[in-house]
Formats: sequence, C-alpha cells, structure tokens
Amino acid sequence: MNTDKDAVLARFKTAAALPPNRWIAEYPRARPMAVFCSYAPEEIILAAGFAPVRVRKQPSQSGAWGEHLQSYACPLARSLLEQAADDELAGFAGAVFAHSCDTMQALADIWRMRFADGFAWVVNVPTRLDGPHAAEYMLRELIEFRAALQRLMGKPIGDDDIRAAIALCNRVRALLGRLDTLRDRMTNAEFYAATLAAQTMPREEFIPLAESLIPQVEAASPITSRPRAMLVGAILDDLTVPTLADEVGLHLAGDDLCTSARYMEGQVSADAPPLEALATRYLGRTPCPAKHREGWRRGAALVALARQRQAHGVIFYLQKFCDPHAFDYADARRDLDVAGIPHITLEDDAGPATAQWRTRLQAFAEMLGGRTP
Amino acid sequence: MTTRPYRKLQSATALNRLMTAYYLRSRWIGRVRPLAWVTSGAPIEILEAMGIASVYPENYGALCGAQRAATDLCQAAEAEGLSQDVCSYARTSIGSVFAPDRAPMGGLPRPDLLIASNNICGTVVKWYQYLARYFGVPLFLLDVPYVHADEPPAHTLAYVEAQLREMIAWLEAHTRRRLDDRRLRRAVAYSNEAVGLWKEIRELCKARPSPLNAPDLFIAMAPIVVLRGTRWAPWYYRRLKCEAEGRIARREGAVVDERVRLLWDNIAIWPRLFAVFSQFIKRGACVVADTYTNAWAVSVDADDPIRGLALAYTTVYINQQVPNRARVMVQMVRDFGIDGAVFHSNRSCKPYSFGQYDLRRILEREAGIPTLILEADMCDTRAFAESQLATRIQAFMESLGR
Repeated sequence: MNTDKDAVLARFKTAAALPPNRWIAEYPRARPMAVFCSYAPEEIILAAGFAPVRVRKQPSQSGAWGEHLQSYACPLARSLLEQAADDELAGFAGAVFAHSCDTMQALADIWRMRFADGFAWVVNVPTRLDGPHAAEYMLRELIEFRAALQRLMGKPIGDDDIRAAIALCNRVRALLGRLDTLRDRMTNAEFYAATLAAQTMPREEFIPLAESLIPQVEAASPITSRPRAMLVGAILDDLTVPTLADEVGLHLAGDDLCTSARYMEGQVSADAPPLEALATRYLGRTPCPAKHREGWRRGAALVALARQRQAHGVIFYLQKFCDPHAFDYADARRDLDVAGIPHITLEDDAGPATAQWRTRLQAFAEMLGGRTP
Repeated sequence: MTTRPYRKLQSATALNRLMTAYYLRSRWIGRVRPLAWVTSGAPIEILEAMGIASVYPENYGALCGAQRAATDLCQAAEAEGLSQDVCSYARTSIGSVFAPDRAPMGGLPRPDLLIASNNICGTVVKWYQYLARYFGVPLFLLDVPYVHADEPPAHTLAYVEAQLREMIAWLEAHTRRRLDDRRLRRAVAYSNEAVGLWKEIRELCKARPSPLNAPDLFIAMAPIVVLRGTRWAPWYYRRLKCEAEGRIARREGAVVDERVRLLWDNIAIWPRLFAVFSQFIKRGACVVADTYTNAWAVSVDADDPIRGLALAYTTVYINQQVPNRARVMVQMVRDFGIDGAVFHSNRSCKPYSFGQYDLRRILEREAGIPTLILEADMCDTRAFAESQLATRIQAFMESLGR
C-alpha cells in the first residue's frame, strides 16, 4: 500500500467522490449499510458486520423522487429517494435512519413503503437531548436497534462486538480530530476529503491511511497568509465548497457540519456498558439544529468557535428547504452581527451553483482579507 | 330567484361570542395568572388544572390567515432573517412579535412560559426556541417520538409519561402553583366531553345529505383546540351537535344540493377558505370528512390521567406513520360514503404533506376513488394562485361527472 501523502489524499478524494453504485466494486470485501445522519449509531452497524456508508446528495438524474415527494422537500431527501429508486444502492444491506427533522421522518415512512422488502430501520433518537429521561429512552432505542440487526443477521451481537466497534470509531474520531488541528497545513479540499472518506470507506481501511498521513501533514509548514472562515451547515455533499474556498484563497479554519465537526466530536467511554456509553456520546455532542437542549444557543456557540479558531468570518452553507437550519440561521446571524463577525450564505438546491458561489466566496475573501479576528 | 347553495350555521353566533370572549380574556388574564404560549398538541389539561392560562400561536396564525393578515406578518418575519420556506404559522407568529402594529389585536400578549410538544411537527421546536430567546422566558419541550409502527412502543409511552410528570414539576417550580388532582380530573372530564361531542358531530356527517361541510368544521374546531379542558368547549359543541341533528331530522344538507361527497386532507387554506370550498359547493360537492379536525378526536383515560394523556398525545394523527394514516383515510372513505379525496399539499406543513403522493395511490387502489392534489399554503398567499386552484378543482369535478 502506497502511504505517500499524495497517494493517501488521492484515495481519500476518490472515496469522498464515490457514488454508492460504485462502492461495492471499490471495496468488494465489505458489505455496506446506508446511513443518512450523524446520529445513526454506526458502532452497532459495525458490530453487526456491516460497513456504514454515509450516503449523500448526488446530482439528480431521473427525477424519480417526484413520484413520492413534493418539490419543497429538501434536496437531500429528494436525492436519497431517487438514488434508491434508481437502484443506486443495489447490494447495500439496507438503510438506517435516525430521527432528526420532519422531512427525514417522512422519508423514512415513504422509504419503508416503497422498499418494503429491504431492511430499513429508524433509530428514533429523542429530540430532547437533556432532561432526566432522554438517556433511558435513547438506550431503549439502541437496544431495539441491536435486536433488529440481530434478527437481520440471524446471530447475536455481543457487548464485546460493540466494544470493538466503539474502539474503531473512537480511533476514527481521534484521527479526524488530529487532522482538524492541522487544517492550516492542508488545503480545504484535502481536509474535507479526509472527513468524507472516514464516513465512506470501510473504517479498517481508513485508519491506517489516516495514521500514515498525519505525520506527513505535521511535517508540512502551515500556511498563514489566508483569511480564515468557518463553514456552518448540515451536510457537505462533496468537495465543491472547500475547493472553491481554496481557489479564492480562503482558509476554512473550523466548521459546524454534521459530516465534519459534529461527526468527529467526542469519544465513547470504554468504561461504561457499551450501549449506555453510546447513548451518552450521541446525546452529549454538539446538537444538530433539529434537536433541543435547554439553554443551547447555536449563535453563541458559533461566536465562541469563531473566536477560538481565529476566524474572520462565517460561511453558512444551507440546503434549500432545511427548516431547522433556516431557523437557527435567523437567530445566529444576529449573534454574529452583534459580535462583528461577517457572514455570507450559500444555498444549495439541486446541486452546486459553482459560478455563483465562486463569485460570492471571492468577494467574501476580499472583504475578510483586510480583517483581523 | 336563486337559492343560496350553502346553509349557514345558527350556532356560529355562539362560536363568535365564545372566541371573542376567549381572545378578550387573553388580553388581561396574564395579569392575574401565569400565561403560557402552547402548541396545539400540548397537554393543556395539566395547565388548566394548575390555573395557568394559555394562548395558541397556531390558532392565532389561522386567525391571521383567515383575516388575510398573515402574508404581511410573514414578510415582517422574513425581514428578520427567517426563510420564506419555513412554516407560515411560525412566520406569522414571529412577524406579529416584531410588528404588533400590523397584527390583528396587536398580537398575542407576552408569555411567561412556553410549552411546546413536537407531536405535530419538528417546526414547533425551532419556533419556540426562537420565541424563548426573544422573550427570555423558559421553554418546556414535551418530546413525543413519532410513531413509526402500527402502535406506539411501550418505551415511547413511558418516555412521554415520565416527561409529563417532569413537566408538572417544572410548571410548579416556575409558577409556584400546585397540580390539584381533583382539578386535573375535572379538566380531563371536560376535555373528554368535548372530544366525545366533537367525535359525534363528525360522525353525524355520515348522514346524507351531510349536515356539515369541512369549512364549518374548520371554523368550529377552535374551541376543541384552545378551550379543551374547560366547560366552554362542551357548552359550544352541545349547541353545534343539536343544530346538526336538527338538520338531519329535516334532511337539510350543509350544501343545499349535495350530489358528491369528498374527503379533505391537511390544514385549511385559511386566506381563501370559502373561495376554495365554494368551488366545490357550486358543483354540489360537500366535504363531509377530513383528517385535520379528526386530529382532536382522541379521548383520555380518566382513571389514570397522566398515562392517559401520554397515550392520547402520542397517538395524534400526524404523529403516526403514513400507513396508519392511510388506514384511517380508507376507513373514512367507507364510513362516510366518499366519492373523491382532495389533498392540500401545504408548503407550510411538511410532516402533514410529505407522504400524500403515496396516500393518494393507496386511496385510489384500496378505496377506488379519484383524488386531487392542490398545491397551496395554509396562510401565505404568495405561495399559490387562486385561479390555478379553481382550474384544478373544475377539472377534478368534471372527472367526477360534475
């Protein structure tokens, strides 16, 4: 295996761009299970012997989603349904939903009616992340999920299997966390290729590649001349935005994305019973905007994070028709304005609006160029 | 001389008086009692039993929509950064907070508390978070997991029940008021009486001709939402039921010449309520059943009120998976003798609207009736064109032979 930095990054970029219909040819020894949300407990999926693959939006081809969903459904839901309807997920063991927003809730219903013969499970993650009863409820949901996978596999999933998977995922999160501290020695596209690869590749293949990459990145010199920005939103579908930021000379110094910071954050305790430890980590991490934690305020958290990362500005990358993020945006922009942190919004509907986004990012980079955090 | 194609309800006067009194009372009640803003799926019986007053931003949104004030208030919210794509009740409510001078009645009185339950949608979580930050008041979220199964799992009901007990303690801590068990049982009894009457009234629409049409029920539902748990809801519904029974005895339909019976799905198009339904009425069609007003037809086990409330508020119609909704609709088609179904694809209500394309296929296949999808919005008039709705309704009615 070639562990040269460029070779590793090339493999990460390949994985980051890999559509689901080419996954099995690329990784023939693993059996994929589709997941759509960072609250899907991938440790239990791994313990059952599957490779969790975060399926993301792809450019629309057939429009098959229109048979089930209205045009005001978010592009992610439309695309996921279309990929499944077009058989792009052939060979996948099934799909795991985690409760987040109204649209994904409806998609899970539609999915289970349309693909009634396949495995599709909803982990009904509580909306309240705190309070005295959420952890117990989440634990019950994890127990039910384990039982469902056991029925699918026809064999038990032991606590030791889950502990081993927890160790694997903790390692992935730790490696991504280390890369997060080395962002200024990488291009934006390189860093985000690693984060997307971590959720696409079999984890056992990702870990040695990331381990070989890190010392090579550590040896590189930091690039300090670029204006620094934060990237905030739901899912990064591909490398378009990071690549455009590279092109216009912006450094993405931190983020609040569910395919990056919210995915890699926190370790699962090895000391507690495994399912309880999983419940604690999933409820304790930075909330998705579809969730509720008393007193939590995304705007305040973004201001604090921007200061910690010495970011000059914030880029909101929002999916059209994503209500939870739209509400948080309305609130967070006020906090950013009060803190004197400039921000722009890139809205994604049917796919990358590359030329328009480049123009906006270029103007933003020029505006930030003369600022100090 | 032409005959009016639609019969007005005499009990509408009682309803107008009741709702006027409710909104007048809401202007001053906050001075003598804690005032909570609550979602339509919140367990109001508990607040009632604790002497906590409540107002309903969703009902207020419907009122603003019906008075054609909502679009302007939506724009006021959009000026504060809210997307035009989010729920128009939420935008209307938030717009009324920012622009009370443009809002009917000057908006709702300032809350002391916020109680939200996500058994109707996830939007209320974000909406009430936003209000909590704006007003700087405490928010309790009653997290009611969506039912992705035929029946709610036991651990879901246990979770909701535990939170109801937590909510009572939370309310006691924030208001210094105690929950009186006797008052809770009385509130549940009033609630059940109202729900029972509401069910009976809706069942009366099985008669041919139907004594009531969907817009009657959309207007008449206000007390079951905002006065559930008080004696005033049964007071009004007894009058409405009596009037409907009288119509049946006289064989008088709400639609004078009822020839077609329809089913409606989703929230009303409030700003064009009668304009839309008149398109059906003038073709002899009465909308005799709907899924929206059916949402408040769940009674509570009076012997174990907290557990009963947990079950009732978990199993509200739109907190249940699409196959469960399909079963309800197919049964309605059979029970009410439905000839066709109209789905309001409501841009503002994603959890209610997504799944409708599958529901229409199920109805066509299992109930053998034609269906119509109307793309519109419950409040925001910018989201649809009335003339297009009229054209689609005309074509649908022609397909039904009318």
